[in-house]
Formats: sequence, structure tokens, C-alpha cells
Amino acid sequence: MMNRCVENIEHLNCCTKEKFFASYCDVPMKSDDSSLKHYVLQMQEHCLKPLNEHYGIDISDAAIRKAVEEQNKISRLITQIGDFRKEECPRITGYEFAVLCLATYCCPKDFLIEKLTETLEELKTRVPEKKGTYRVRVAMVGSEVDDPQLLKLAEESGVIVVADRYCFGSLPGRQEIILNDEEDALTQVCRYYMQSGQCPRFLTTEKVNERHAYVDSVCKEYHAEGIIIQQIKFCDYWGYGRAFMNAVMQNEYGYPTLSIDRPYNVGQSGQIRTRIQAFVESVEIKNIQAKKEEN
Amino acid sequence: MGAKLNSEKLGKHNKPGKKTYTRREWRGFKDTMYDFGCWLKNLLVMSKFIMKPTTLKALFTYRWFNNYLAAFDYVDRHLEGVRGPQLRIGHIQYDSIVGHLTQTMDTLFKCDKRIGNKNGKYDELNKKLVIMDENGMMVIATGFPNLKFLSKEVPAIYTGSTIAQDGVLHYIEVAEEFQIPGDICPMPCAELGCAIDEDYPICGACAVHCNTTCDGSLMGNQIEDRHDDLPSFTMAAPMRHQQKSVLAYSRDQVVEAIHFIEKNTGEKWDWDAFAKNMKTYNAQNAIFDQWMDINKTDYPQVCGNNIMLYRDAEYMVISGRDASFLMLDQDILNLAKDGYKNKVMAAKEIRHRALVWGVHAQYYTAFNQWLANCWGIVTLCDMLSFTLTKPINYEDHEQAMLDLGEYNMNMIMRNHSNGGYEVGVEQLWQYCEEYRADMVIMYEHIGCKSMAGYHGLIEDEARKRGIHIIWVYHALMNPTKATRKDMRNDVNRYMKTVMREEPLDTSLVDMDDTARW
Repeated sequence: MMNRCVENIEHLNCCTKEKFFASYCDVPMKSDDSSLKHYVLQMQEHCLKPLNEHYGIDISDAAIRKAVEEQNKISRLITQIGDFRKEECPRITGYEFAVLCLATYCCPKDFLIEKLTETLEELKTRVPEKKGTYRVRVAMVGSEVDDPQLLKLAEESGVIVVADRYCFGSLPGRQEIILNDEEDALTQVCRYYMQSGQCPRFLTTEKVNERHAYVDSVCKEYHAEGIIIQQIKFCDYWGYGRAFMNAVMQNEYGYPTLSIDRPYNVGQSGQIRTRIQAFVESVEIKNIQAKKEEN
Repeated sequence: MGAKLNSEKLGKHNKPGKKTYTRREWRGFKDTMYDFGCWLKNLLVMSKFIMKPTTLKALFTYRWFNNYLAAFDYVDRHLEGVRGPQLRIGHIQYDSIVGHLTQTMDTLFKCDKRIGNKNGKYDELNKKLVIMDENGMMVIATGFPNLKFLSKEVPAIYTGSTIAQDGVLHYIEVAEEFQIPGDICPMPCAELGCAIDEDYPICGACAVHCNTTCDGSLMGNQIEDRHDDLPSFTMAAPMRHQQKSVLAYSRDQVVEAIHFIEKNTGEKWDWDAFAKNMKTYNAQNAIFDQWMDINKTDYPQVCGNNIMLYRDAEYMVISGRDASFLMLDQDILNLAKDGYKNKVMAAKEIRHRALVWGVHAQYYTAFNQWLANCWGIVTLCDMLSFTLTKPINYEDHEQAMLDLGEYNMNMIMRNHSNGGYEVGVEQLWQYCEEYRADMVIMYEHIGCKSMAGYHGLIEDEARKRGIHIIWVYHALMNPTKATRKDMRNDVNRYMKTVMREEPLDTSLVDMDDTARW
């Protein structure tokens, strides 16, 4: 779909700016050596070279290393901020974190570092909401969320989103990329994204299993009691991934899950609000029953 | 009622609310006898097949297998209204598909742990069986002469859905109950439903998947793989296959797939067998080009959807492994040449020379035949049949692997729907020029986001070029979303309002075949 979108932009001359260009990278669908080779070549030929040719951007190894260093600064800051979500009473909500995290994807890094540092300092002394404000801790999993209103709506309905394993979330994507000096930086960066990527387009069984195990580990680390698996309408990857993950996380890992197929804009969706409220109640009932069984 | 085209009202054979025709079509004595002879031959092939204990057991084991009871109707449906060379060409093509499918299913049922191999009787055969994704490049099988390569999805879903229009609805519902969204392509959805329903034969030594034809297909495979429980390998095919930079990766994938098969079956890649089969495959592709050359003239001979269905079997599934198909190709070429020499018309009037673009509706593969009979729109070729036909090198081993890499990216269903604007849109106009087509039957498969993204661009470009585009909406394997009648109405509306034409056969304009197979 994105390919078609860009092709339409290109062929209908929607952007008439002098240096506008469109280039298409063939992204890897597997995580192995030959896919890495392919990935590096694609990035060189269809991303770095055009950037250099059109805008004169420095694409040398040193420049990539410098960019990674800056990115790592951002990642360290946002990870520290995100770690507050592990607390019993998190001092940052899922919505607030999503807004900050989204900024790390789209703001110039040098502008952002100062703001994030300041926010981190503020958070250290922030008094969290008292216990019971939120009824269920959940991990939000699934397709692209670039409108944090979804998280706001969820948190208004009784959950707190303690982990964000969705496209444009921080898990994974905002971790440090550790580079060595033996290999070129581009290959290392590509390897990092290929290996840590949790996009459902990675189609081998090992990667599929890894995806589910990763969600489990995130839930454990952030103490999530349930999972909301959401899929933006028309994303076929997550259309299947959501259904599959819902079955696996529920039946094999034993998590309460809510699986939702949603339109792009959901801030005011009464239907989704009702579903999340019902999910909250069902998790609470399960918790009550579990306690009874224990006694 | 006779030997001439359109000599009887074909719509009258349709019985609303019933599965079958009222009677067989009378095509004049000679053609009717030929047609009936072929029907008898198919009956014999099917009878021999159905009498096998494994087949009988499959009939009561697999829901999808019941679709094959309509196999005769399937052949008749696609040959409606044709005479002379077109009837003979069609029979060669469809009857060979029937024959080949029975062999495929026979092997599957023998190796199946639920049926033939319950007590290990066919263990040895099963060890030699490699399960291929239906859209995978079967050419890879040509280097393993001692192995069997089969796709489970082809008999269960792909062909089943063309034989009976509601043949795979159950599986779509199963997948949707599993929470697969309702707006995705019904093909991977039905295939997945079949896996969830545990309705595929349990067999094979290993499986080779691929990432085509679309995001849905790729995703469905991930879940199916879990149900297969076989060692599996994914032979990835780059999407942007027009870019030179992707060829090496595609080649690497083919090489890795070969190593995987060698490891899991104990067989070694055989260059001699590969060369032998590639000679056949290359010859088949060369003959196909000759058919198409004839279709570019005023007297096209190999028309309709049988091109696609036959090529799908020959090009995708058999891939040069069965030399008898080469002989059939030659027979078809001879018939086509004779037809051309005698100026035989493929329809009563060829009012419009059309190309078919987009993916056809599986539940209405006989649509092209209706177009010719009802409106004189003769379809000369289709998007799926415009495949790579360049010879594969079998002497230079390095080049051979590169050629296979190129084919891997260009298999049916991915050569135009993947690859970008150049092959998805631009090439259509080149073909229109080559074939002197004045019309494009543009299928809008409502679950296919890939082709839908071209809708506006195609309309704009067609307008510039003065080519008529008729958009025909369908839902691939789900006739409940857009029925056969809806598809016909898309054409009827355009032909009456834009073209201001009258139909060749008025009985075909408005008929109710909702209950038909």
C-alpha cells in the first residue's frame, strides 16, 4: 500500500519541489546473512546514494557512526523515561510516553535532546497517580500507532499502557545500537534493524515465534496483566499477525487479550471504548477468580 | 442451434436456482461429437481416479474434495459457445488440467497420514515429497528428478474455487472466525481457513514457502507453516523485481532453497535433469509466444481464460517436468495456425479486442467466455499470462541460477502486481499496442490493495490513450461480496451506456446463475 501511495505521489507529480525524488527499497523479509547483504545493498543504492546525490548528505562511514551516536543519546533518554512505566504506580502514562516517543521518530535530534533531558529530570520528582487510578496494566501491541489518541482513549477506559510494542513504539526501536570498529557501520545498523525488527513481514517460523516470545518478555518486564492487540484497518500484515498473536498469547502464553481491528482515527470511538472497558472488567473478574482459587 | 457461432440462445441453458445446465449445448454434429467424446474421456479419467480406495476415502474426509464433483460442469462452462479450433484447443487445455490434477491428488492422498499412509504403506513415497507453496517457483523441482513436488493449496483451494463458485466459502468463514479481517484477499484467507480446519492432507518431507503474491499470502503462510509441522524454508522473492539490485538476492534464495531440499530429502541437485527439463520448459515458452503472435493478428485463436488456466498449470506447476505438455502445446499451435490460415473467428463478431488486467475472479473464470458470447469482446491475453518467457540457460550453471532468480521474482501473480508502476501500469499500454486492443477488462479485486492503488493512474492513462476500461468488481473467491451477475452487470452497463451497443446474445445479458456450480 505504501508503495502504491508513493507511486501515485511520484507519477501524479504531487510534489513539484526541485529536489524531490522517490526511490524504492526492497526490504528483507527474512533475517539471515543473504538478506542482510541484500538489505545493505538496498540501503546503499536506494537510500544513501540518492540522499547524497540530491541533497549532498554525507553518507560516509564516519557520518553514519556520528548519526548512530546521536540516535543512541535519544534512545538512552527515552528508555530511561520509559522505564518509569515498570513501577507499580507509573509516574508517566502510556499516552504521555507515546507522545514523547513519537517525537523521537520525527523531530530533529539536536532539538530534542535538551527537551527529553529536562522531561527526565522532571519525572524523577513527579508524584505518580495513587494506586487504583488504573485498573489493569496492559501492553499495547500491533500495527502502526502514530496517533496517541488511541492510548489516551484506552487509559480513559481504565487501563494503563505500560509497554508499547507497536510500530512507532519504543519496543523495539529505541534501544542503543552498539557499533564495533571491525565492520562498516551501515552493515551493523542494517543487521541491528533486521535482527531486532518485529514487523510481521519477517516470515520465517523462527521470526514468528520470536515475535510472540518478545511480547511475552515485554509483558513480564513491564508487569503487564493483559495485552491489547490492535491492527489499523487495511494493514494485512497485522490483520493476520493480530489474529495469530491473539490465539498464541491467549492459548499458549495464557494472557488475557483484547484483539481490535480499528480505523486510523479512534480518539472518539465509543465502540472501542466499550470493548476496552469490557476487557478491563473481564481481567478484573479473572483476577478475582484467581484469588478465590488461591484461597 | 447448429455449427455456427451464436446459433442458439445460450442463456436459455441456465436454470435459475439449479446447479446444472438444462442440457448440453448442440454445436453441430461434428463438434458436438468431439465435445461429447472429450466428455467421455474425462469421465473415464475421473472414474478411474474415483475408484481408487484412497480417493474414495478422501471424498469422505475432505470437504473441499466434493468440489470436484462439478469438474465436468467446469469444463463445459469454459467452452460455452465455442466451435472448431477453439473447442479443440480448449479441450486440450482443460482436459490436460483434469488429468494432471487427478495425478496430483492421487499422490497427495497416497502420502496422506489420514488416508493412504495411515499405516506407513507409502512412507518411501512420502519421503520424496516436497510441499511447495502454490505460488512458489516450481522450476526448482526440475533439478530433482527423483522427488515429487506438490502444492496442497492448488487442489484444495485454488482449483476448487474455480470449479464450484462457493467451493471455499466455508474456509473463508473459518479464517474469519479466527479473527482474520474480512477485507483481505480471500485466497490466502481460504488457504489459512483450510489449515485451521485441519483439512489439508498430512504429508511431505519438507515444505518450501514463498512471500508471494501479496502481504496476505505471506502472512497466511506463517500460520499454515505451524499447522504443517514440517521442516520449512521460505524462498523469498524481492518485490521490486524491476530493479537490478535485487537479482543477486533472488538467486541466493533459490540456491539456499536447493540446499534446504537436498538436506531434508537426501537428494542431490541434478544438472543433467535440469538441462533436460529446461529444454522442454524453454520450448513451451517459445510456443506460447507463437500463440500470442497469432492473437496479435485479426484472427486470434487461443483466446479466453483457458490461456491463463492452462498456463498456470503448465508454467507454474508442471514447469517442464512433463514432456507430454510440450506435445499438447504443439498440437494447440497447429490448431491455431490452421484456424488462422482459414480465418476462423473466435467469436461470431470480434467487436472488441480486449486485454484482461488485474486478477480474475476465481468463481467466475468462465467470464471471458461470456464476454465473447454476449458482447463480442474477445480477450486476447491477460495480466497473469504475460509472464517471463525468456529461455533459461542450462549450460552455464552460474547464469542458470541467475535466470532462476529472475523467474523466482516473475512468477504468475507477482510479475505485474509486484514490481512497481512500470509493470503494473506502463506495460499494459505496451501490450494494448502490440495486440491492437481497444478495450481493457480491468478486474478490481476488492480485497487486493496492490492493484487498487493503481486505479486512478490507470483511468487517467487510459483516457489519454483512448482505450476503453471496463472495471469489473469481484471478490476473488467469495461470490457473496460481488456475484457473477454483478460482474456481468458492470460490463452490461458500460456496453449499453458508453458504447451504446446491442448484445450478440440477448439471453445472456440478464440471467440468474447464483446457485450454479
